[in-house]
Amino acid sequence: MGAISSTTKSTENRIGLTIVYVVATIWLIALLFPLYYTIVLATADRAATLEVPPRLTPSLAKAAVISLDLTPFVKDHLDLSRSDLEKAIKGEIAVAAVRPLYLVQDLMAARVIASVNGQVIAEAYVPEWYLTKYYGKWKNMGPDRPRAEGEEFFKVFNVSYFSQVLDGIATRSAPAYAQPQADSLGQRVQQELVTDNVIQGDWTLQVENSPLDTFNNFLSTLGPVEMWSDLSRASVPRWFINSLIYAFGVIAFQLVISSLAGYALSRLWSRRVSYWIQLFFLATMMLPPFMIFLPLFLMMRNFPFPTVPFTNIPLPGVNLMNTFFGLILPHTAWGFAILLFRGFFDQLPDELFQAARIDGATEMRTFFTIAVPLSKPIFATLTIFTFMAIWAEFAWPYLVANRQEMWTLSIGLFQAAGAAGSGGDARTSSAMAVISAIPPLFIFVFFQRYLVGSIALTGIKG
Amino acid sequence: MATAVSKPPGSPQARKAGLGRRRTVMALVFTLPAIVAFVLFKYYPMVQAVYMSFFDYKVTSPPGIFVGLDNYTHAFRDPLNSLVWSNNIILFAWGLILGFWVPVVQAMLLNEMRRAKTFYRVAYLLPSIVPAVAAAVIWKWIYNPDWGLANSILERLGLPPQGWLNDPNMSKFSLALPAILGGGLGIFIYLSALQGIPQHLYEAAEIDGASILQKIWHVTVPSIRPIIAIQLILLLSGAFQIFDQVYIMTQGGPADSTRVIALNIYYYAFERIQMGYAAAMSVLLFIVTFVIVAIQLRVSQGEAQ
Repeated sequence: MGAISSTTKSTENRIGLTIVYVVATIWLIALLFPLYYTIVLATADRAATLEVPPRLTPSLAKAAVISLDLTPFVKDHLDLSRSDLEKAIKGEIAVAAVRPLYLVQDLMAARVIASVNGQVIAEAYVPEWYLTKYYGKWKNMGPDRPRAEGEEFFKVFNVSYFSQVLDGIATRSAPAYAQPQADSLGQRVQQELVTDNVIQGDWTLQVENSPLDTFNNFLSTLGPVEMWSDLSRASVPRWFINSLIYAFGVIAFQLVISSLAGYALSRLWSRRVSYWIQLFFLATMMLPPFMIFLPLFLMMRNFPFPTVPFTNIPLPGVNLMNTFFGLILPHTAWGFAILLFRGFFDQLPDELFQAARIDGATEMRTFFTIAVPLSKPIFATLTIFTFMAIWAEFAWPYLVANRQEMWTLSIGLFQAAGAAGSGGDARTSSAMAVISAIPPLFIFVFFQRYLVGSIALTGIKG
Repeated sequence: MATAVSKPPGSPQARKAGLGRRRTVMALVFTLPAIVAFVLFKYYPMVQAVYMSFFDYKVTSPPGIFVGLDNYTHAFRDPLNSLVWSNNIILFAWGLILGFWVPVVQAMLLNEMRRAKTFYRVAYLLPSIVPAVAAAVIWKWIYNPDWGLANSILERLGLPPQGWLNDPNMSKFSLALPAILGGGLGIFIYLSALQGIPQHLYEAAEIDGASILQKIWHVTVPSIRPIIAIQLILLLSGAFQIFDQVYIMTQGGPADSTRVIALNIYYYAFERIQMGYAAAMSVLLFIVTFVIVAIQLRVSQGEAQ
């Protein structure tokens, strides 16, 4: 309880508390606003990102559904073999699906229901991010590309009954949509399809709300991501996993090394020796990261020593660049972790350990059977701190992991966002930003009850 | 005289003597992994950085040409360096003005709450879950002069649009501005300190007729002074080390206006491949950090008295 809530004069108390809550709430809204804005961007369609002034509310995803009657097309191409006919039909469907997506910014996906003689012959669903994967930066998007590459779209998103329908077997009736209303999104899509007269066959269309497509930007991170001049070679899932391995690798090393050292400082060394060894560890906490990054970088190129120290005699070694060990190893030495463990072990009552010693247990045994099980709060605390620090880290992975396959999520996000300077793909990068916030959220929720207690143990308060 | 003072086996003294030696051995075994890690990844690199700073270091044929203190004198003479160091100092100043007091005030607000206390605490903690890189990227978009949120807010308020990160006069301010929103783990350090303030101090102050503001000034603030001192020193040393956010948001900024020390070191080490000079600058950085930490220790020891 603080200055205001301890006031006994009730009006002052009430006014004061009201002010507290009002200010805290306004501040909270401002505080969370950038996060909210990121989520808005992550669910936006292309049109929303180009809006000026920028859009502040999440957009509802819309998909165009085109009912394409290919009966005349089939009649014109009866001379083709079955497989060639199938290819040609796929081409038409691809054009019908891709053109609206390419030309109308508001769509998140397009669905085409193609029919012959009133029976559905094939359905294609193309999300807009699929175009990025196959057409890069929207260059050279003439009508013939989708026609020629129709097969590509059908590899993943299709339902087809070519043989049945061409043989005259009924499947299901194709829908017929009414003319889109004037000035509606449907009309804009229709105008784009009419122009250039690209699509053969008769068609009707409608534009519908498609809530599931809202998460398409997140799905787009499954494929290659737009970088400065090209698509990336690796993808977000890879980077995500890299970051996870990196984080948990460091945590594993730190838990082992720091718990052993902390226990020794607390229970095995005498007070005086402990003091000096602990100083040896803690003193490193004021080393500027960049001061040791330079030599560490050289060290990782030829681990452990590129040359005999302070000479130029070369030594054999392992190249740890672009490996997990190269990323993890320098972080295994963290003075704060040893401090945490030492402080914790100091708090434990002596009797616990005396009992084990009298029973003749070795130190190792005592450590594993008594100290470790009790250390769960510290394990949890250290996991949180280390995970947060490593997950967000940028500089060291940027130096060591320069191949795209080894990037961590932070680096991938930086590169993708850099390419989004013109607002073009701020959506994928905001989806990546949201994705990058999820594991810390999990870790925090999972381990947070240990946090407050442990801060007190380190004596930071004093 | 002939027999040494031998301890019969099985007696308490024997056990203690044997234990003593064994305990020392085990202590070494326990501590050795940490010592190896620290020597290999902290102390040796530190020494090597100093060593490198005396050479025109060649990566391909280390260590290169010995130049003595030339790297250091160049660091002192180069006008770019005085710009770079002043960038850090100005950034620290903005961080102080815009952001240092924020967690303190927010913690005080949270401390006053009784109802919905947990909700607010969790909500205020949320920003710390967003990784720094993501936050930097988000703010870079917000600051975009053409389609960013910042300028559109200004427009709605009838104010002229600004260049933010693209304006050399505004870039450091823009870098420091997000701190004014606050949130994150720093609040909790203050919160646990505030919760340690005994109630009776407030009651006593009230009996003496203190108003709310007086209570804050005379009870709350003095009680958390040690924490504030520590956080201040952390802010100062952090301001000299900053790299990630600046690299992501401005890459050194328009006309070197956000070129900070760590960025400069990175640039000379990895783009100009002048490792020796970069090492010298990092040693200078270390010396400054060392002085800052020494001051902190002096201050917190002074407070303890």
